Amino acid sequence: MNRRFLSIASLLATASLPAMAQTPLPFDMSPESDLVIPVPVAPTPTPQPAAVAPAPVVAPTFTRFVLPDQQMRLEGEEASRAVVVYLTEEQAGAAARLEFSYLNALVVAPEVSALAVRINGTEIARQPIASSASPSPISVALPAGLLRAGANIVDFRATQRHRTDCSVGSTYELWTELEEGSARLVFDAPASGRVTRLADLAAVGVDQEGNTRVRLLQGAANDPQAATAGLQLAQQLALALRVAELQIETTTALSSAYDPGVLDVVMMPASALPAQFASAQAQASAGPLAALVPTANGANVLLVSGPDWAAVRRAGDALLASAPLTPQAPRIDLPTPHPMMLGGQSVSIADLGVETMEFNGRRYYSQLQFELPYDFYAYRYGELELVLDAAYSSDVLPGSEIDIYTNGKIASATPLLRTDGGLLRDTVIRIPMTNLRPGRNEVAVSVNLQAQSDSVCSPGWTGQAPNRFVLSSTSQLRFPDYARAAAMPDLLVTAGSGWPYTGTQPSPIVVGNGTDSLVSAMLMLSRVAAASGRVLPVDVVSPNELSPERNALVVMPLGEMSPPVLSASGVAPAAAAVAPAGDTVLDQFATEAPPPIWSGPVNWLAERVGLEPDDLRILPVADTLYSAAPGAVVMSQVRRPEGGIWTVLTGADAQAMREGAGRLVITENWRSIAGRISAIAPTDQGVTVVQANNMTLVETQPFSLLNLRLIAANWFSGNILYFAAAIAAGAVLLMLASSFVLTQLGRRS
Amino acid sequence: MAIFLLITIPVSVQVHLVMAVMLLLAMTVIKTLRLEGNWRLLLLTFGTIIVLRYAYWRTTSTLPPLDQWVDFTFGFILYLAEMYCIVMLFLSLFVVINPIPPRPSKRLAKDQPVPFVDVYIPTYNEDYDLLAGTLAAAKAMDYPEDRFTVWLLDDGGTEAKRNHSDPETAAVAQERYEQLQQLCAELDCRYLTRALNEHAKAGNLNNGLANSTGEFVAVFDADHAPARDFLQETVPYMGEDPKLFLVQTPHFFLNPDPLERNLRTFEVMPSENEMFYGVIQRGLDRWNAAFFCGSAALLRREALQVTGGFAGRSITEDCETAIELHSRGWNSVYVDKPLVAGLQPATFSSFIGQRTRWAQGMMQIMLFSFPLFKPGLKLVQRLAYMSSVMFWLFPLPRIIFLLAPFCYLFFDLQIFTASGGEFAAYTLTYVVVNLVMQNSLFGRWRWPWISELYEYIQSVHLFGALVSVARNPTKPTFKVTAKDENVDVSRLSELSRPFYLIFLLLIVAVLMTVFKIGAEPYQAEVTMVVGGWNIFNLILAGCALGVVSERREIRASRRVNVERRCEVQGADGTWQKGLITNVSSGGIGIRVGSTVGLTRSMPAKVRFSPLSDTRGHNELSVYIQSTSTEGKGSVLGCRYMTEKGQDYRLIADLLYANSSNWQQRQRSRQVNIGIIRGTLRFLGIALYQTGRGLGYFLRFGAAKAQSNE
Repeated sequence: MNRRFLSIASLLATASLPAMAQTPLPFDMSPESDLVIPVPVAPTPTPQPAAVAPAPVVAPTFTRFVLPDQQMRLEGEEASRAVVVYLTEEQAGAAARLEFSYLNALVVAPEVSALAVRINGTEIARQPIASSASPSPISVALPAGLLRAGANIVDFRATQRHRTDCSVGSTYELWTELEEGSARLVFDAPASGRVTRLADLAAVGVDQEGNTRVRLLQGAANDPQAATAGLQLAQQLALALRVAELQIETTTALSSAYDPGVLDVVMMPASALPAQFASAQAQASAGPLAALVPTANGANVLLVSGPDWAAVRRAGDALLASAPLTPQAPRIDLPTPHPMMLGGQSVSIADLGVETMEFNGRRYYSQLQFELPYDFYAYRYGELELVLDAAYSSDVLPGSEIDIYTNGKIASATPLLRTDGGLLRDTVIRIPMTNLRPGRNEVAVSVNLQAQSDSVCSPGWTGQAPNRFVLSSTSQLRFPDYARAAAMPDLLVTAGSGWPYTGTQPSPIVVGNGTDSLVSAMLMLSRVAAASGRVLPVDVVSPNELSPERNALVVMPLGEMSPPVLSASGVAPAAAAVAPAGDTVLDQFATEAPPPIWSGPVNWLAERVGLEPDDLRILPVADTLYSAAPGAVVMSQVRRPEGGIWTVLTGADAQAMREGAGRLVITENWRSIAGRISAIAPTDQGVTVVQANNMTLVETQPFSLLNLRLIAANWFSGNILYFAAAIAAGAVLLMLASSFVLTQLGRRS
Repeated sequence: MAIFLLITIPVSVQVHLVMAVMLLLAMTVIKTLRLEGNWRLLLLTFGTIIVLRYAYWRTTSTLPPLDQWVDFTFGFILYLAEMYCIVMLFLSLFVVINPIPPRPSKRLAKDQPVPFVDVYIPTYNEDYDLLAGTLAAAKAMDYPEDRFTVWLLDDGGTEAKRNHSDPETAAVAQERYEQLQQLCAELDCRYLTRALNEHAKAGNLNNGLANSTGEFVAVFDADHAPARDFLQETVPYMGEDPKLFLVQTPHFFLNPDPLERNLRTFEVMPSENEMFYGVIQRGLDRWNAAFFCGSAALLRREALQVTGGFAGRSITEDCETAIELHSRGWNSVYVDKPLVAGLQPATFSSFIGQRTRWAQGMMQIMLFSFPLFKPGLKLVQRLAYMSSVMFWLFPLPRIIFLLAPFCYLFFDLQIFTASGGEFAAYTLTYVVVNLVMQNSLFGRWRWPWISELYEYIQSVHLFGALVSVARNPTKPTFKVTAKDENVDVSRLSELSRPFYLIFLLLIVAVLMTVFKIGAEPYQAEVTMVVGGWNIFNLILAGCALGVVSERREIRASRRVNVERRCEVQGADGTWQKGLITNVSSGGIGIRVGSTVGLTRSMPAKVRFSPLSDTRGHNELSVYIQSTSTEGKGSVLGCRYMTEKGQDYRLIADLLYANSSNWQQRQRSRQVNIGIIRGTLRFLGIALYQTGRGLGYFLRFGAAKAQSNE
């Protein structure tokens, strides 16, 4: 095994690192320099094949791209990123190899850094990270039987150490990046991209950029029934294809050839089916039909049909029935478990996919995910607990710090105050739930280790240092009983969980005229479905069928909206959105008003005490109409006084709306959606969020005093003066009561 | 109930902070405007809410995890100490929520029957002069002469003492026996002693009960001289309520306690006992739980007979007697008017001795008849007695608060898990609220931080005493507190050593704090909080150094200002008019127009008309110690030259005839100086006293070490 790596390494070194050739090549992979030993060590079957260099093209091969994102970057001393690749039985059975190329930071020391790849838990490659000058292509033949039909997890793990620097800060300079689109599985014949079973739909996979595209052939776009069926199918497709962001386009012609990551979908009643589907017509006329149709050119075509639109609509249900979303068959970008955590539950980090790891670096980093219900309402007061089981060596100094990030924001920083014990057993770290949200949450644990020996930092020490920290996977996340209620409007809730449009009763949705509006609605709904893991039942209706008491969705350009809908949308009419006149370039210095005198104390309060001026408001400011930037797409949520929650997706015109929707569904943007308004313009870097000033609490759980108390805690935490007032009022009552009691009790004077 | 739900809502720290600050502001407004009635109640309610929220937070969020058992153990001890303080705060809040206002002055009506009263003056080792003064004052009380008898109950002249195996002791007892019998004869009092010294003071008093028959019993300690109107002010209450067993009056002291003397606060600051007699007894009175304090009280014989006389199981027979009678349905009344003038321990060690007896006795009551479950008591009385008895546990938390910072600073224990922000939001507001509440309840009678100082100086020695009671509840015995000592030279108290050691330890802890902040920047915030706490302890301990550095007392006894016309006869035999301006138990000051015939070191005679009946006797022999010019006239400083018992009647008349003098003197000190001024003043005192204490240590520490060898 050593020999094999040595040969790869020397090959790489000569090929791409001439400058490094002078240095001795101590690619000693003997155990003592193995920086990271996963515990427990899985019995690693030694990969048999000896293919060590990119294989010469000898036979027709078929390529599946692996990464759902354009790139994959591994940062820090220990990094791991995994993706899920769905394979058909045919692909799983074929001889295959994994190819990728990578580039790394110059400061990564090759002697003590390694990149390992695991597929389905089996390590198939491990080699020094030594490709800082130009990308190194790697090709690893996969042992037979490793791949399986269905979900396969491809896990890239980098162990990176700095060449010279032993500081915690230097670990941020370490990175390894997979070249865009370079990661792929290459199958020998007879494997092909053909997907034949509905259960295998996710094997449609992604293209080189990581995208999955649905090309939709639809009969009558303006028929509400057709639109309803289309909206439902789009959601079912997103789930069945196991993608986060599904690209949808309409077309009139089928693909001429196989394209990776592309699925043609023909959705129409039997009577409207084009000629080439004549063979299916009989079956489609008899009842709902959803099937993958074999094509001569190898393109994947899904036929969804039936005698009428209602049947077409039912036909789509087969997609999920044949491949239900389970933890074993996750979304391709979410390989690790992310269970729903309700109040009072706890979960070990092992169950969240974190392995016990012995660590000799200076910044341990680990990520985990979990879901919270749509009515999670404890973000202002609550704390969850990380019950830590860890050990550290005597080299570790007090002042080392355990930092917890929730959804990318620092939530708690706990210094290790004593390191003489060597052990943290059931040590509770309290993590404010401030940045947690309904839907999927990301938590990162980062442990900055200050070590005695690091201050000396002898040459090569970054890698040679003995293990100094172990985080046991028996550590637990413990959730308190938290408040359950929904404060609406909040797009965060809807974007992450689909609420309040989930359930069995279809929600009315108004879709503007034309395919652009319909596709926008499909993009939005399929993204909600991907985020929440379920299909929102909807019914396309005309605008005047909307009732303010009912929850509803509106996807329509501003220009098309009827006045009642427009006034309920929370967005200013397009005409109001006027770009500021004049030469703003010259104004940029003049407009800098001096900060008001109270800004000092206010900032101090905000920074040191965490108190925002808004928290001290008695009457909230009215929510004003939002004026969108030209070309922007706006998602808006309004709670009608009558009780209905309306969610609106709009833009200046249908085309801008559709393009904007395409940007909005990108995971990074989608996860920023929140408040009553979330908007993104073509030139925007990110989503603009306007928080609602007036929120209405919606009861979501059966009434209980305990829940009411927790809801009150969260509500009061945002309405501080009301709390003070309530306490004061309570005090006055208590005073009057005790005053009365005092007149009854004791000796009269 | 709803308010308690509201209090336990787990809102965020910021919310608590804002709420606490707002309530504090409201409390400040109420306090500054000196609003009374329901406003005062509202202030206390606001405070209560913040304290309760603190207690809730402290209980639910700050205890160290159980598996860190060292942290947890010490953390839990600290937690218990804090909870004790909170419970005590609420108990005392309950007690003084609505104190009975001072009762109007009473006199026996003309046509009322005059009940017979036995006046007991128990003594053990007090000297002749002191007893003569007290007997004379008792005899001078304004009450029909045939309706009361003054008894000197002498435990220093018992048969057992007179026949002591040590001939010297026996001789002293015999001499005392004869002298006091003689004194009693001269003053027309009854002398009574007994065979054995059983059951200490309680036994002595019971012996008095067995040998007398009066309907009521007045008890005065040997050093408590009653004012003329004592019986007039107290006896009428007995007629109003047949179930009344006790009329208690405050103890008023003519001399400062060691703290007041050494810190020189006697003239300006309310005395320690004034908080108890000025407000707490009045508060207890509201709940019919004012208790017997061993002296200056009138009791009903019938009630005492129910329990077989004064209780003698504990060494605080007074409180024990009261709780027994209260539990049998008898009532008590407290009259807030100083009607006796007494002495308190002059030296720090006798002060500690006295407090040891009180603390141990109260502990015994707690162990023998736990007031909360004492059958027969009403609920409010149970709570009231709990507050009285539990108060004496204070040495435990005080010592814990003293040592707690060391756990962190020296041993790195994490005994209080909270961030700096939480500490500020919860603990600081709690401390401030506590101060405001204490000040609004007791501000007139107790200046800020003085309670802490008193507690600290006692705790160092009382801690061990309490532990010994817990180990062996029947062991402590009654020790008579010496009160007639004088400090004629400046010196360190013999009990001062632990205070210097603690001070040194605190200084080391301060150095450790500085070191830790530098060496462990990652926990500097916590270190600063704990270090600040330690510095508070240091200030307290520094101030205490001043308390144990005994100042030389210039005058043997305190003077009381009076204005009494008199005539002085010098060596030339002529009488000239004068004015007695101040009186003490040792001498008087007289202002005269000219000093003709009145020179230093000469005897003289003073003549005045007594307020009480002195059987026609109105001349007092004095010795002129000093003369000084003051304005147009001169002031003579004279010492009494007592020849016979009758002279004491005149001295008593001068000293004790007018009790309103004393009240005036107390009132002049009872000013609430507020939290800020009080704190600044305390800091000033502490700084100065630390310096003085260290100075004394340098001057006398070495000498003391030598004398110990």
